[in-house]
Amino acid sequence: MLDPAHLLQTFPNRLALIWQDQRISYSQFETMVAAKSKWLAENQIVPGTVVGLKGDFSDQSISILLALLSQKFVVAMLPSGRADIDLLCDLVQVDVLIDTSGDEPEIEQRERAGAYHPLVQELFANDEAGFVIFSSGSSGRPKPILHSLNRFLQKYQRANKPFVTLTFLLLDHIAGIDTLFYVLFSGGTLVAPVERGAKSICKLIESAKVEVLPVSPSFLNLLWLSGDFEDHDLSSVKIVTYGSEPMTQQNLDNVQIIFPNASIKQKYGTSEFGSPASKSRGNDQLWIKLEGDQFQTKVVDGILFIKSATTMLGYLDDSEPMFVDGWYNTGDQVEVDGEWIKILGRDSDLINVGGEKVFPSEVEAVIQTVDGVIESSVYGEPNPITGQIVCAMVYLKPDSDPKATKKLIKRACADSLARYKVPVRIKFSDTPLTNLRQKKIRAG
Amino acid sequence: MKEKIIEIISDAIIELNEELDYEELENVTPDTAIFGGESGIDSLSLVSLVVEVEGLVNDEFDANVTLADEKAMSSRNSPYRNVTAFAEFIMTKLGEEA
Repeated sequence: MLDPAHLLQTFPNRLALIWQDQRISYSQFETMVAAKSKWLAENQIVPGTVVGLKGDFSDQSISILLALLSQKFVVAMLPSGRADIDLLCDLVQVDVLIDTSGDEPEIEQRERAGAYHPLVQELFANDEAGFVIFSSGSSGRPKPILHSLNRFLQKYQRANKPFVTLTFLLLDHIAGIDTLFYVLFSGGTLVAPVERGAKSICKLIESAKVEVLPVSPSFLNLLWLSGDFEDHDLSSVKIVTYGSEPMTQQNLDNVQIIFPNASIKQKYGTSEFGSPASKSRGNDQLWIKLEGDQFQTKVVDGILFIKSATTMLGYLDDSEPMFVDGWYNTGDQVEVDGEWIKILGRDSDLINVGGEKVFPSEVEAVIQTVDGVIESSVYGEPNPITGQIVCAMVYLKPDSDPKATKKLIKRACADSLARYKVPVRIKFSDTPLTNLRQKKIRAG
Repeated sequence: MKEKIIEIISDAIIELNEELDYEELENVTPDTAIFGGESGIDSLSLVSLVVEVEGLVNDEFDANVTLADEKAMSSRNSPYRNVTAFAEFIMTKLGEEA
C-alpha cells in the first residue's frame, strides 16, 4: 500500500517546495508532515472521519494533506472563494473542516447530517485513504467524486522526470492533484504561486527557474495580452501543458512566440479519472494522442469514451455515472484522424439553434480575433423562435468601447461563421471570465 | 412612449439591414412589415432583431421584459407583423411589468 508520506524519504536532499521565501527540502518536508500528524491527533482529528481541506498550494496545505492521506483519512478538497462550502461539506458528510488559507490552519468541527456514503464506509473498512474532488458539472450543481488514493496513485509509480513545476492549477482541481503527485513521485520541485496574475507568474518563473508550466488556455491568452512575458526571462521553461478548455489556433500560435524553446503539450483529463499521459502531434497542433497503459480510449458517434484503472470509485450524490460496459462516457465531442484526436468541446455545451449545432469554442475563436477583446465565453440561451440562441459574454480591455466592439464582433462572426453561429446577444463583463479553477464560466 | 418605442424599433431595423441590405427595409415607417407577409426577413434575423430591441427597451425604460416568448409566437395576430404591432406589444409587456 502506498504511503504518500514515505515518498518524501526517497530524495531527502532535493528541493520539494518553493513557497514565498521558503525553500523546503524533502527531508524538511517530511518533518513538517510528521508534525502535522501530531497536530491532528492533538486536535482530536482521528482517522475514520471525513476531513474537508480548504486552501491553495502552500507548505501548510500540502503537509496537512499528506499527513491526512498517510493516516487513511478521506479528504474532501474544497474550493476556495465559494459561498456554498457548507453545501459541499453536507454533500460528503464532512466531520472536520481545516482551512489553510490563513497564516495558521483553522479547525472547524461540524455536525454531520447523516451517515457516510457506502463507498466512503468501504474505504474506512479497508483502512484505505481517499479524496473527493468536486466537478463543476454541466448542470451547475457540484458533483462530489470519490477516488481511492491507492488506485489513483498507480500511474505515478513510473514518474521519473524531476522537473521544477509551477502549481498553477489549484489543489482542489484534479489537475492540481495530478501536478502534486507527479512532482513528489519523481522527486521534482513544486513552485507554489501566491498570485496568479500574468506579472506575478512571470516573476516566479524567472526567479525559481520553472521548467514545467501546467496552465489553462485562458491564462496563456492573458499572458500574451499582458505583454509581461517580454520583460522576464522565461527561457527555463521546457514544457508548457494546457488543458481543461478548448484551445484556439491563434492562442497556440502566440504561445510558441512566448516560449520558443518549450515543447507545448495538450493535456486531457476529467475529475472522474485524472489525466492520461498524452502526446501532441506538434507544438502548433491541436491533435493529441492519449497514451499510457492505464488508459484505453475509443470514439463512438464522435464522443470520447475512456476506460481506466485510475477511475473514481463513484459519485457521492445521486448522480449517475455515465459508464457503458466499463467505458466512461466523457461527453466530449472529438474529431478523429487515425490515432489522433482533437477535442471539440463538451457535448453539453453544444448550442442548438433551430437544429443546427454550434460549438462555443468555434465562436469564441472568432471573437478572440477582434480588437479590444481579452476573452469571451459563448453559451446558449433558450428562445421560443429558434429553440436556443447563441450568446456571448465578453471581457474587454479597459479602453475599449463596448458599443463599437459589439459591432466589430458581429461583423467578424458574420464574415467567417455560418449565420446561425453569429451571437445574437452580446454582453460585457467587468471582470475576467475565468473563475479560480481557470475553467470558463458558461453562464447559461 | 409609443413614439420612443417605434424609434427604437426603427433604429434596430435599420442597423439590422446594414447586413441584410433589403430594399423594403431602407425606409422604416410604423407600417413597415417585419416578419411574415411581404417582409423578407427570416427567423434568424427576427430573433436578432427581437433580442436587440429587447435590450434597448429594457435600458430605456429600466425594465426587464422578454419580447420573444411562447405567447408572442402563438398570438393569432403576430406582434412581429409590423412596427406598430411590435411597439404595441412592447407597451403591453411594459404595462404588465409595471
